Amino acid sequence: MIQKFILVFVLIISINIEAQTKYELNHKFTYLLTYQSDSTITYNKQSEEMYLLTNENVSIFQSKNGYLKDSLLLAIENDPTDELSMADISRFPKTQFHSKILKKNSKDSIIVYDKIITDNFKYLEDKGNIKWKITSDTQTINGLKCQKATTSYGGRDYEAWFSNEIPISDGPYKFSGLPGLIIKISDSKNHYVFELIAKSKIDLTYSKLEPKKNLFFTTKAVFFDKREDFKNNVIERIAQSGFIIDDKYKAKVRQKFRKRNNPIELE
Amino acid sequence: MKLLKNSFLGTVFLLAISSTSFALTSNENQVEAVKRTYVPTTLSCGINGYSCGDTTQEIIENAIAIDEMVCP
Amino acid sequence: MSKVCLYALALVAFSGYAQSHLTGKVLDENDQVLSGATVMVSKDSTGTILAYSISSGSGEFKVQLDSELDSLFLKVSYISYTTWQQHIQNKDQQLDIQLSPSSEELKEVLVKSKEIEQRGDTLNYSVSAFSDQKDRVIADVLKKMPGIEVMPGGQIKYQGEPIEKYYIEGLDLLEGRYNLANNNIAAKDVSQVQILENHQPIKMLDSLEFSERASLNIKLKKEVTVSGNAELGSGFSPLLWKAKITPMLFTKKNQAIVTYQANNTGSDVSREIRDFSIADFGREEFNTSKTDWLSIRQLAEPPFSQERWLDNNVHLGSANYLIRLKKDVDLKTNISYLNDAQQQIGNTQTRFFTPTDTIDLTENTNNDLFRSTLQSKFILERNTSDNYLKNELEINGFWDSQRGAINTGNTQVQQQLSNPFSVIRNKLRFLQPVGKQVVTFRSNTGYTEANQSLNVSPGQFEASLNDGEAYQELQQTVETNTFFSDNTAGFTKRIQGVTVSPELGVSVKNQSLGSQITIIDTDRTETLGGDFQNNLDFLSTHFYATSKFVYKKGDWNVRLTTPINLRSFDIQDTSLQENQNLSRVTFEPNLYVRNKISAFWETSISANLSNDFGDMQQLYFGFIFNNYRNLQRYNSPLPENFSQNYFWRLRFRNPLKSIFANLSYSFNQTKRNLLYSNQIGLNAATIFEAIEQDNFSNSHRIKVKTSKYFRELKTTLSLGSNFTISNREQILNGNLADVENQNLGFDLGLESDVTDWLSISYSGNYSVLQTRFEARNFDKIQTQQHQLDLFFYVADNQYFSVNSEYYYNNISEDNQNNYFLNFNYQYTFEEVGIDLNASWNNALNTDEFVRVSNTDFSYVQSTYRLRPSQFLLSLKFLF
Repeated sequence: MIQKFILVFVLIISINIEAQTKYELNHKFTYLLTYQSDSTITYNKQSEEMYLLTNENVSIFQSKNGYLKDSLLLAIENDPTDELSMADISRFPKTQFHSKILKKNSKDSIIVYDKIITDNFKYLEDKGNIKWKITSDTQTINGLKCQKATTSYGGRDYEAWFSNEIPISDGPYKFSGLPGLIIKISDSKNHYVFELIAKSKIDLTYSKLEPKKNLFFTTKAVFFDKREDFKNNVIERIAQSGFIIDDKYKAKVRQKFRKRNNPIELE
Repeated sequence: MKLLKNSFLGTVFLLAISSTSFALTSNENQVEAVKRTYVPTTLSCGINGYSCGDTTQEIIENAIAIDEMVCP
Repeated sequence: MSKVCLYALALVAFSGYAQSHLTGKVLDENDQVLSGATVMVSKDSTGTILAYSISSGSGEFKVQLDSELDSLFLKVSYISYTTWQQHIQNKDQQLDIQLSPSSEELKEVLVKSKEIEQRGDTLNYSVSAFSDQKDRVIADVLKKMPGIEVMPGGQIKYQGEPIEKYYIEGLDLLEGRYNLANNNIAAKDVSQVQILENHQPIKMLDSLEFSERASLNIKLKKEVTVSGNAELGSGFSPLLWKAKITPMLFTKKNQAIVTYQANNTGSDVSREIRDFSIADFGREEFNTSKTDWLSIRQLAEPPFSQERWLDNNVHLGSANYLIRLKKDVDLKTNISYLNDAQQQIGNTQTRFFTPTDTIDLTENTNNDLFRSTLQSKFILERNTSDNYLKNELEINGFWDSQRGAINTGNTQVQQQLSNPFSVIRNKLRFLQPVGKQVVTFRSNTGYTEANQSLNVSPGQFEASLNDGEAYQELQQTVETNTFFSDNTAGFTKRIQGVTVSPELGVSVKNQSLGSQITIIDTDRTETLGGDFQNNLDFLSTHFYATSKFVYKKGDWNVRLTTPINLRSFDIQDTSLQENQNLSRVTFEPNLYVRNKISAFWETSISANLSNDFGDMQQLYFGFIFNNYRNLQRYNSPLPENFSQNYFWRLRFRNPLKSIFANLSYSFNQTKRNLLYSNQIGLNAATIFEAIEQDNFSNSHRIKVKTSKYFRELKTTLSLGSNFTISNREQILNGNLADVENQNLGFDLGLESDVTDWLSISYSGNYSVLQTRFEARNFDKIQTQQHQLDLFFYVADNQYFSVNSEYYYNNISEDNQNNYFLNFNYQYTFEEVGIDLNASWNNALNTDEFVRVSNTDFSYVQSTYRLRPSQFLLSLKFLF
């Protein structure tokens, strides 16, 4: 499947790749994402910290561990003489959210980078896909006056609390477009809850947003298809990527993936 | 098919590097290393397997990616 | 391009009114367009947003509005620019808005962190999530945390078990005397309370031996904290005063807590230096706590807050200092001095049941107790991953005396007691790796001395002591000393996943007892000989070989110890020509198994056999006059007790939902070789003797406790119950009787910060005790205690509180119900950080408390005089 895919897109990729731009970012908003990867088991919630890094014009959203991992890998790449034993991989920061989302004020669409094992994908999505409905409900969250807005996106109904006390029209994941930063957003089943937990000023140059290797510029629909295909053929796809799992663990791995039935975007 | 994929990825890799304004001094090393190696790997959750790649970094990246997928 | 930013939506309940379009551009100070600026329309400056737009890539915005309002409020913001705002007419219009740069920072995000978080074996409790306006010190907050209990004396338990260590920023400044820190560190200085489950305090053993105990760590907000508190108060009546100052210092290398506290308000400051240290697992420790051979007749203390009944005049000084000499090497000094004069007034009515008769005794008691205590400890500890050394030198002196007057209706008894005690002890523990094993050496050596005397007038036990003639005064003197030394060597090695620790040890204890009874009459002073003196030497030696096996795999932990002991006793009284020798070899295995069933559930079982031999306090051949109606000797073989203990526990904890629960069952059977008899004389004086006859006692105990924090209600609820059934054999007036006790209790606790202006704290318990003596059932004793505190936060810097308590027992003839009420008002001068507190204690002026208890053969009803209604004003400073 991956091979077919490669042939289909062989013409579009790589030439088109946006040159590696550097972004000077000066605000870091940390969101805590609490999520449930198996929709049937409510008591088993996981959480991960997420970064929204912004300046006046652009923002990058990525999981904290994903960001740290990228930085570490970059350091290894820059200094390949640095011996790194394979045992060390257990100490690497790990993430379950590989998507990196670039939003520009001046553009109508956002750029989404995502990953299936070692294959990287890039697609555009119209900002207009998320249509907000503002309500008059207000409450104070973490010391900020917030107003409620609702939307439906990716098969879930969301309730967002935004605050104009931080006048940035942005938010976690793909969410933006409200007159103020989204402080908290959750779907109606509380399967995915993002909450702003920290804010700091930074002085950061983000230079490696776009993966250089194995990057396929595609559409959201195709990427979702790829992901579905991966889920259905986990062991094969993992093997193709260059990792061979010992036979005795294969059943266990398949079972694990069956339980992961609750992605943030259901459709 | 696998060979096709690998050689293709190699091409993509080269193109990506050449089109980058942000080329690294150490790229030569990576390009040189074209041998595909298999390294026995134990993931953080105890699952054993082999991680392969053309460079050390690729092997590590691959192992981490699998760990993230399989272990939680 | 501009179409992108047209997802402006109106929110008006009904449409069809004026629809207006606002369009325009947002520009910066140089007339360059700003994209991403937020343009908002509301009714007024504080209203919710009715419609909005985000400026496009070309800086344009377009807001469409359905509203009947005449005027609108328009607000345009952009990060790092000053917000532009203005009232405008509700009509179609075009506006170009220019923003000017601003250096204003973004508003702070104040996160109330998650109340409990788990990282591996560590639970992090957020202090801010559990604290409210009234909480001043960390102990106030600790008791609201689910899973953690603070007992009335100050001991901290986690999941029903006492904590092992109380660290402050990872340093163990106070060892077991953690109350001092717990009651003085300000809650506002602490960011987190951490529970370290299964914490092994010795780093070297971390991977070799697991621990089933939990420890607690206080994480401070700042790396260097210089803080403290001071309090000064006065009131009436009688004239009341209290004073307290506690400076504290916490840095990475130095920690110090110094305190001076004094009062006559009934606050028992000796609690602050109470020691809750836990002995090392499976080790017989020499008891160095104070031993009193003689006593005056005491009154049973009421079970509630001391402030209601303790009549004291206390001064306490304590200095505690820890210095980190170099990495992982700590030197600690703890010195405390306490001086207290207490008064007890009350009466006791005792009804003794014998199989044939009942005997009543009334005692009106008036006691004065004087305490003067110096306690000091010097500790050097080195705790690294390849070396462990701890040397602990402890020197304690007690210079106590007591005075008591008893009126039994027809006689007046005066008692005068001098009960000093002193102890010096050195404890050393040393671990060093040699090759692949860890060699352990321990030594524990010390000396105690108690030379005590009791004078009672008029003289008692005339029949036994003075040929039936009344006489003026009786004096009992007791001189005892004890030398002990316990030395052990062993090693620890890992063999195929099992940690094996064999150990050899020898311990020696040499005690001596000299006692005399002197009869003092108007014309003569006579020291009695014969059976009324002791001149006893008691030597016990103990050789032991122990092996400990520890196995840990996955979710299983197993530990087995197999000690083989050779104990010998050589007991000799030269003046009474008595001697006893005894040697015993015993095997006392101990097994513990724990299984972590899942992330939330854990279960453990333990089983052990143990032998216990009496010491000098249970074996002396001459009579000792212990108190005014007790003449006692143990003219019997050495007590030998063999017991079996079984224990099962199930624990549940879910930090995500803040639920903690534990259930335990234990069974104990003890076989004793002696039975003790109480001969109750006509004047209710008891003569106590031991009879050699094997007998058994059994007890079953079930305990359950659960607590949960409800986030929405900011409430911690805890529920508990326990049931104990125990029976033993007892000889009373020559007959053997079986005594059974059944005790059932329930308790309920609630800590709630339900609204901004009210917080509630409630605790209650109900217990019922049933005693059966052979086939005869005694009346059930039921008691209830309820305590309800309400705090009203009338303003940010003021609160008013009502504290009420209720006690009930069903068998007192009068005074079954006891009510107490306190009122309290606190005003905080925020600028200077001073709390002004006014309290009216015992507003109902309840003057006495009646308490009922029963022993195996008696009902005791004691009445204790309480502190009267009092008013107190105090100033507190936190610095």
